[in-house]
Amino acid sequence: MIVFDRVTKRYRHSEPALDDVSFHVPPGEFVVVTGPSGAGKTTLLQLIYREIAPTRGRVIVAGMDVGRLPFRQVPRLRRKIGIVFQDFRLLPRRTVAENVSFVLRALAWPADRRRERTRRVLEWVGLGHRASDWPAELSGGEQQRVAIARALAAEPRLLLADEPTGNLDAERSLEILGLLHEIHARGTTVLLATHDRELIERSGARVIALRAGRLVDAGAAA
Amino acid sequence: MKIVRFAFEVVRAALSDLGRSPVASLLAILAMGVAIFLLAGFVLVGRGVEALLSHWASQASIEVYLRDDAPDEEVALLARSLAADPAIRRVEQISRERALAEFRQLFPDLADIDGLLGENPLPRSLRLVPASPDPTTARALARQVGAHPAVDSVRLDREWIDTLARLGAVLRWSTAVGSLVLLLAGLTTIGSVVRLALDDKRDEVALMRLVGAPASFVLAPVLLSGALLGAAGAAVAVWGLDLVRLAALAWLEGTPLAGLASFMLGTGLDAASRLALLAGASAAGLVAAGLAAGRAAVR
Repeated sequence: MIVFDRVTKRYRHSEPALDDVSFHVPPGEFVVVTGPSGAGKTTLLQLIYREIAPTRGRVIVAGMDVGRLPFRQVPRLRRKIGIVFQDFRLLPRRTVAENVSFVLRALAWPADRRRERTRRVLEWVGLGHRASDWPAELSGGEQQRVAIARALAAEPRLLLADEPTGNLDAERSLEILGLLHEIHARGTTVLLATHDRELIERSGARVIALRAGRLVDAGAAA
Repeated sequence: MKIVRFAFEVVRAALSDLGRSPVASLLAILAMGVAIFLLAGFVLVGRGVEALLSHWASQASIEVYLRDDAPDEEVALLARSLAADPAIRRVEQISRERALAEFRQLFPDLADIDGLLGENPLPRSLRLVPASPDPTTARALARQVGAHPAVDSVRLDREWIDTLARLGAVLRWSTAVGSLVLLLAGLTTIGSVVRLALDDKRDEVALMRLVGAPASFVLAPVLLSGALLGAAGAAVAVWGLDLVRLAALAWLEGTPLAGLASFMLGTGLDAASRLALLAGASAAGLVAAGLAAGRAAVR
C-alpha cells in the first residue's frame, strides 16, 4: 500500500525533516508512526497524501509514484485516502451531517447515496443522534469521531491519522483507538501518527519510529 | 449523469458563494450595470447620431451661384451636363424669382428686400444634390463646378454636418474611454467579491482538496460566480436603458424634438446587441473572477 524508498525531505535552508527513510506498509496493515515532536511524523504523512513532494527518493502509495504525480492527478490519489487531524478541522458553519456529506458532495455522489452513506457512517461512529447538531455543541471526543466519519465517508483504502488524540483525555483517546481498530478490521490500511506511549502499547500495531527525521525502527512488516 | 450532478453542484456552490456576501454582490452588479448602461447607451445614441448625420448628409446640397452675365444657353448647357453626371443625384435650376420666394419664406422680416434695394439682389443658381454623402466627393464636385466660366461662386451646404460629425466623434471617444474605465472598475469589484467569497470558504476549499475533489469543482463555482455577476450587471443595464429610452420618448412626445428623439433612440437595442452585451459581460466577469481567484482556487 505504501512504500518509502530512501526518502529525504528537506525544506529550504534547514536540516532534513526526513532523511533517507525507507519502509513498506502492505495493504490492510495497522501501523503506528511515532517519535518526539519534530521527528518528521507529520512530514511523512504529508508526503503520503502529496501535500508536499520528496526532495529525494520515491514514495509509492496505492501503486502511484507520489513524487512524480502530476498536479492534476493528485485528487485521484487523495480519493483513496482518508485523513484525520489533531484539530479535527470540522466546518463550524455546517452541521455534523453536513460536515460528512460535504465530502461526498465534493466528490459528486448522488443525493440519495450521500444521505444514506452519511447516516450509516455517523451511526457507525455512534453519532447518528447528533446529525443535526453543530460541531461546537459536541465534546472533543465527539468532534474527533465526526472527523473520522468524514474521513471514512468516501470509503478510502487508507486512513491517515495525525495525532488524532492529541486534544483528548486518556479515556476518549482509547475510544478513538478502538474506532481505528474497527476501521482496520474492516480492511482499511491505517497509519496512526502519535507520540502517546499508552496508545502505542495498546494499539498492538507495528511501530515505525522516527527521531530527528531519521528512521530508528521500522518494526517488522506483517 | 455525473456531469449533470457536477453542473448542479457547481451552480449551487456559485449561488451560495454570492449569497455569502449579498451586499457586496449587489454592489458589484450595480457597478457593472452602470458601466454597461453607459457603454450601451453610448452605442445606441452613437448609432442614432450616425444615422441622422448620414441622413442629413444625403440631403446636403451644393449651391452653384451663376454670373449675371452668363448667357442662358451656356447655363442650360451646364445644367444638362451636370444632370448627366452620375456623381450628381439631382439638379435644380433656381431662377432669381424662385430664389427671392425662398428667401422671403426663410426670412419673413426681410420679405421686402427687393423693394428696399430697388431690385432683386439674388442671383440665378443651380442646386446640386450629390449621389454620395461622402464629404470628399462633394468637395471635389464643388471645386470642379466652381471652375466653370458661367459660375460666380459655390457654397457647399455641409460644413455644419462635418463639424457635427467631428464633435460626435470626440464625444464618442470620450464616452467610450469613460465607459471602459467604469467597466474596469465594475470588473475589479466582481474580482473583489469573488476573492472575498473564496477567502470566506478557505476551510471548505482546503477540505475539498484534501478529499480529492477535482480542481474544476473548486474553480468552476468561482468562475460561474463572476459570470453571473457580469450577466446580472448587463441585465440591469439593458433593463435600465429600455426604461430611460421609453421615458425620454414619452417625455418628448408632442414636442418639436419628438421626431429627432424617435429617429435617434428608435426601437432601442436589438436582440443581437442585447445577447452580445449579456455574453460579453458574462465572459468579462468570468475572466475577472479567474484572475482574482488566481492560484488560490486551484492549489
